Amino acid sequence: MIHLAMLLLAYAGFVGICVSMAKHQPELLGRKLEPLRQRQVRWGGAAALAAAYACAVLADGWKFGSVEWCGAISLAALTLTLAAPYRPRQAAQAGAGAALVGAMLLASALLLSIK
Amino acid sequence: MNGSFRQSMAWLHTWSGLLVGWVLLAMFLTGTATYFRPEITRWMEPETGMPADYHIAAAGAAAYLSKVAPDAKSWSITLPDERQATASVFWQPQPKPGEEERPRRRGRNRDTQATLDAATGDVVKPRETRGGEFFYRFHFQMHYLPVIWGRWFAGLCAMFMLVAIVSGVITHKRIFKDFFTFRPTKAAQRSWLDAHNMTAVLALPFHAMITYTGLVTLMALYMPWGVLANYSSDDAYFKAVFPRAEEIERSGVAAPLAPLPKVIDEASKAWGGGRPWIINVSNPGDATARIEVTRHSGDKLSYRGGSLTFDASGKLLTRSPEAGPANVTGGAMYGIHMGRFAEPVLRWVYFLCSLAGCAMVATGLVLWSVSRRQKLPDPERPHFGFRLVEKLNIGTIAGVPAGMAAMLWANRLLPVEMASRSPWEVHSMFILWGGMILYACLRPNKKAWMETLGLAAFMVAALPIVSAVTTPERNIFANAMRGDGAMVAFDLTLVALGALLAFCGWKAARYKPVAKPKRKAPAPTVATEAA
Repeated sequence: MIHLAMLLLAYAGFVGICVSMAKHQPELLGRKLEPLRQRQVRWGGAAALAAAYACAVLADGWKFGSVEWCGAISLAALTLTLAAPYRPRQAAQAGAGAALVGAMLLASALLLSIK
Repeated sequence: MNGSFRQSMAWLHTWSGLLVGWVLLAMFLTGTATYFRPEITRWMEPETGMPADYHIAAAGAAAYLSKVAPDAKSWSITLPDERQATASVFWQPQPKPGEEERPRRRGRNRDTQATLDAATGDVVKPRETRGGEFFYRFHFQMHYLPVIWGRWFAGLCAMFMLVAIVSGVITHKRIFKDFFTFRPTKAAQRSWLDAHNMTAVLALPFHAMITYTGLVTLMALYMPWGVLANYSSDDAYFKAVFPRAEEIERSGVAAPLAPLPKVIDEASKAWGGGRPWIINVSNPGDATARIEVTRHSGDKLSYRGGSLTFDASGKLLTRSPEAGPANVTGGAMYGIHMGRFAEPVLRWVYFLCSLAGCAMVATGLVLWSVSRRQKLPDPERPHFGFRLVEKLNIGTIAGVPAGMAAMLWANRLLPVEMASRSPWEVHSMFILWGGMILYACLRPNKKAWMETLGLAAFMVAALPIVSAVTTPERNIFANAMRGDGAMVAFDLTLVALGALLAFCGWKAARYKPVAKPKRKAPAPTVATEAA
């Protein structure tokens, strides 16, 4: 589960960063974002990547987690880049969904680990 | 950074990548397969059963060895892990009086070794095959070459790869701006460049890691001076790094050997939860027996596990000395390259990143010819060197996957009793690869791409059917019924990889080269296009 959260958050993170780039906004969103919104999305994306790292460390510790995170973000970025030209809108929407589900999974994993 | 520096880097990138690109692709593809080495071996040995707990395997191996070689000089047991279905054992008989002691070497002597079923401890006789081991060996030491030459050659290619990675990063001016850019519908050159950049940049941590650590694993061969300066010989070095227990004379006093499962549990406790991998027993059945348990590296980043020594009654005597910092670093680099610690999720991540690496090399090779064709004086009649590159591209990009599949076909189709069976399995890979290159030379490019990729797709995707027909106990439903998830996944993966190759073939079939636009200025180089 926590591995799934890692992959979802990594994907969501790159969607955030991609959407914050002006050149990708027309295809992915169909509109341009305001500078403030753009910054928010970028930081949101970075936060999601950091959360993915937290998942990896939580699941397998610092050593393996770091290796795992590097691989996971590579795959997430590849998935997004391959999907975007063919299904741009859906790729972006999937990012929002992935962020939501990933955050919920991470939160529940955290709650369980505290107990 | 000025333009000329970038241009010289682009030149370096282009030629370092091209010169050994075909070998690199073969190394990358076989290396990628190696992440599933135990599964490939299991697939190629359909006579073997399912993985089982290593306690059971250890007990079975001890029972077998005390039956066939009760008074051997030593036993060696390689335990299966959760992905392997067999334990392998070999023993060293007591040297006969006056006989020279034989060197401890595995696999030399067929009558002092055996393969045992992990669950039952019975001897299994799998068909003669090199299994996944071949891809592993090939990816760093080639084939048909003396091993050392092969390793030097693989190292040279890896060095070219490292140069190509570094110069490629420098050449790629818009690494962040084009981070997510892939325009498959644009002109051929543009989309090939995008595809090359994408597979290279997005999995760059993996590519850089795998190339660098790959070189490090063989550093003692490539750069022996560090060892030479500090140790009198290679042997002295290996003795210091991997110490061996002193040999003890048999006392002649019989004593039962402690049950190995119990010794394993002791070892796990001493390691704080580690698993055993190899068990060496010297003087079995004697009061002076020593049991040496080497740790499996599957739960550590570092590949070097360390070992514990127990006496005949199972009392812990000594631990191998802690490795020094240089050794730990080396071991960690080796470990991160091999990915042995990787649980299923991470193993798939490794596999997919590695596939991206194959795609990077393949797209790079194609890009060379696509971007150069337009600049030829007469694109319809290219010169010999250009045609050679194109034909090698087709023959290798389709030929290596097809050849690897051919090896698995041969595994099922060659008669089980055939003499030198496993060499012919290997030959079949190179025969098909070579055949594909020849075939590509005889056909026009577009047809050659379609047909070779089509054949490769068929060869890969049809393997589950070949397996089901020739070894009915290994058809996908039988595997599923037995609960053998790994073999079910293996067949499904083959189908998926076949579909991927078929997709490439379909793309090649739809590819229409754009008419060369009339340009006044000389066409830009790859570098400035990339920039």
